[in-house]
Amino acid sequence: MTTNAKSNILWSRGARQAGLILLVALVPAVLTAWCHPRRPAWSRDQAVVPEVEWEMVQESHSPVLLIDARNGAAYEHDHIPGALWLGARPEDGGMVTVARAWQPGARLVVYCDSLRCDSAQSAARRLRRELGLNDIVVLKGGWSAWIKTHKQGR
Amino acid sequence: MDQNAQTRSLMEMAGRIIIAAVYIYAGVAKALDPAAFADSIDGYRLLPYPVGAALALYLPWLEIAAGLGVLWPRVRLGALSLLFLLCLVFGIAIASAWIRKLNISCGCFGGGDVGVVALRGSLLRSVALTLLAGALLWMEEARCVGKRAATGGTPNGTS
Amino acid sequence: MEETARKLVRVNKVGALILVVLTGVVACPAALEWKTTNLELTAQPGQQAMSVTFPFRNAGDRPVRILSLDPSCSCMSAAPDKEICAPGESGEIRVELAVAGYSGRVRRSIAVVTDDANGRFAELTLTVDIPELVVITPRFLFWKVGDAPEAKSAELVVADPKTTTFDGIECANSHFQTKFSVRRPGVFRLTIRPADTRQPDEAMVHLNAVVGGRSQTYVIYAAVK
Repeated sequence: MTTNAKSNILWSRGARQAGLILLVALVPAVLTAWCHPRRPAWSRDQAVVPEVEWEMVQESHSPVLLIDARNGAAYEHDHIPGALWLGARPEDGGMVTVARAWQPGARLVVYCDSLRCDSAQSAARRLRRELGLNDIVVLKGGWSAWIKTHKQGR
Repeated sequence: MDQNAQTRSLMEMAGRIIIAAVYIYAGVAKALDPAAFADSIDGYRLLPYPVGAALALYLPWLEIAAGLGVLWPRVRLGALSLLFLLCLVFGIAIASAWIRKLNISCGCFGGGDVGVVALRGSLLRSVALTLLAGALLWMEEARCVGKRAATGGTPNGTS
Repeated sequence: MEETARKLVRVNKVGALILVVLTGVVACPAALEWKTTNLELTAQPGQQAMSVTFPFRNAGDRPVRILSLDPSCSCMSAAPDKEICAPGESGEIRVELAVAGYSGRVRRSIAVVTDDANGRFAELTLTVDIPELVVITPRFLFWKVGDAPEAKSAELVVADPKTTTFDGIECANSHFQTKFSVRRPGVFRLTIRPADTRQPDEAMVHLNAVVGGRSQTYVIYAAVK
């Protein structure tokens, strides 16, 4: 048998086997798409904004812009140092406040009260769409999580 | 001669186990959270979001299937070919992100460190895996050809 | 033989006890019965806040005290119309939630804790659809200092073209040129171009519109950073 023929048979066998594996993998993939609780959205607008812990925010190599998505009274009472209040200009949902403070390369970190609150998620999604920026994350656990790790000493 | 062949055979088996373990682990880690993986893929800015979402659903299972396939002689050739291709593609994607200085994490094992330094580490790891997959593929091909010569050409994948 | 029989009887006694306790827990009716614990609402465009109520009734035979109401975010407040509800009495939880500045589908919840003997609490959920009649993508256009001062555009998609018209554009900063055009029915384009990008600059572009009979102004922010 010539080397060429041997090579051809090898390739076709490899291709057949690869094809089988590709097909087999399709079955659980389709099931995942149908019923996995953490399946992805099909458009970026609806995709969940990633949630990160405070440690990851601090370790960020890029400058961080903190955004407080709670109500005015909560912000006035106390907030993460340096955080901007999203509600400063209700007419545009905070978009201009954030856009003005943002500098190229900065990462936006949005937080609200706690794990149960989804204002930060919806604000982050809106900012992602309106500002056209992608480096946006939500602080996991929000204000409650931050204050637990920062004010234990007091 | 026999000693050499035995050592080679053992090393090949070790290599297969390593690459299978790495890919099965990576696949499982990503299959647990496809939404996060879709985000990671989107971070590379190479594909439209819906395409990335489809890949996020499919790739983890492909990795698991190919990883398992490496351990099964009947489909080993195809599995190694797929893994080699996957390694190449991932390596190119990571390299492109590293060059563009994207502030992302590899997402190879679900989550992970973010930034240029982390990407460099991921790139090195990816190159190592590509070399391993390539070597195993080459050895498998050589064995298949050898077997054909020995048995006179009947298609048989068992080793 | 006797040993086994004794063991069996003991197991049966324990089993019977567990069954009784479980039955007690399951069969005891929840003291507070809610008309619904899940409300789906749609906000009106331009609405600042919404008020809803969750009515309940004390279906038990003991008075129930509402110990606390815990809203999931500081964007809403909740209060019961009475703290103690006598058996057979009805009451309601009044909820006020802010919708201005939010858009899309938002989910809020309130945990209601009572002195119900079973220690259960109710979770009241509100899913609100806040419509955006004009969707502008993106609302922020920027150039880095030194970039080519090329034109960049924002796309405006109008939900109901029949009741929406655009009146005019105002831009206080003459360094930014603006242009408004119609792409197709219901879809418009606002193009902005800076005169140069030699130094940082910014402009708030106000787009005046009449949406559903009401005047609205939309802001698009352009900046050289």
